[in-house]
Amino acid sequence: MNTPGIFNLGDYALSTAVTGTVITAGSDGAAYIDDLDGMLAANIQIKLAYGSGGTNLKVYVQTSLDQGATWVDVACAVFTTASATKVINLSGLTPKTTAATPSDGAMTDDTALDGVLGDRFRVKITSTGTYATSTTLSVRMMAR
Amino acid sequence: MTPADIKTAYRAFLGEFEPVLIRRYTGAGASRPYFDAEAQARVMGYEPHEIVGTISQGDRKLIVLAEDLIAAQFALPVKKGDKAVVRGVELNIEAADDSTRRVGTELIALELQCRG
Repeated sequence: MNTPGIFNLGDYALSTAVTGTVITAGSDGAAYIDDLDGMLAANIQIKLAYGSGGTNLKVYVQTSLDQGATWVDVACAVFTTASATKVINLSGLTPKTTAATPSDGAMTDDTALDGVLGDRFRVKITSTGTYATSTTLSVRMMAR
Repeated sequence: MTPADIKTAYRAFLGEFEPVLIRRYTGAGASRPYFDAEAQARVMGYEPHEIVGTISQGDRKLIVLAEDLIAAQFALPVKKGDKAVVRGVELNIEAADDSTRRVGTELIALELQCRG
C-alpha cells in the first residue's frame, strides 16, 4: 500500500449511553480513514481505560467495499467495567469462498470477519449505562 | 504554479525542516489516549516586533507542512489545546493559523504558536 503506518480509528471519552456513534475522524472531515487501497493486513488495537460507571460497551470496527455506501463489521470487541486492551490481526489475503452476510453494528460479541479489507475503515460504538471518571476508548490500526 | 508545485517548492524553500509530532489528547486524566502524527516543520522563535497580543517571549512558531498531517490522516484542523512535540519536548499549541499559508482553498502549511 502507499502509506503504511499507524492510523487513528478514533478516541472517545465515554459518558452517557450512545447508540451507533461513529468516533472516527479523517483529516478531510470525513468520518472514516481512507486511502487504504492495497492494504494487505491490519493490526487493530482496541483499548478501554476504565474510570467508573457504565455497563457495557460494544466497539465495531468496520470497512466498506462500495465507497462508504455500505459498512461491514469486521471486528467486534465488548468491554464492561474494567480496563482492557484487545488486539486482532486481519488479513486481506485470507480466501473467503463461502459468502458472509455483512452486518452493520450487529456483529456477534468478540468475533471478527477475516479476509475483508476495503479502502476505508471506521469505528462505531454502542454503550449502555453512564461511564464516568475519564473512561476513554482508543482504537488504532497498523496498516501494511 | 499549481498547489502541488508550491508544496514541492516549499520543502526546498524553507530548507531547515525537522520532524515534529503533532499530538492530540482525548479525555482527561493520566490514562487519556493520544495520537501522534509526524510532520516536517520549521521551528523558529518570534522576532521582537512580532511579540504582541497573545504572543509571549519564548513562544515558538512552527510552520508545519499540512500534507504530512493529511497523509497521517490526522483530523484537521489543529486546535488550541493540541500539542507539538519538538525534540522530545511537549509544547502547548496556543494558536493554529490555517489561513495564511493557503493557495486558494488548498492548505499548504500551518503556522502554530507554541508555548512550553
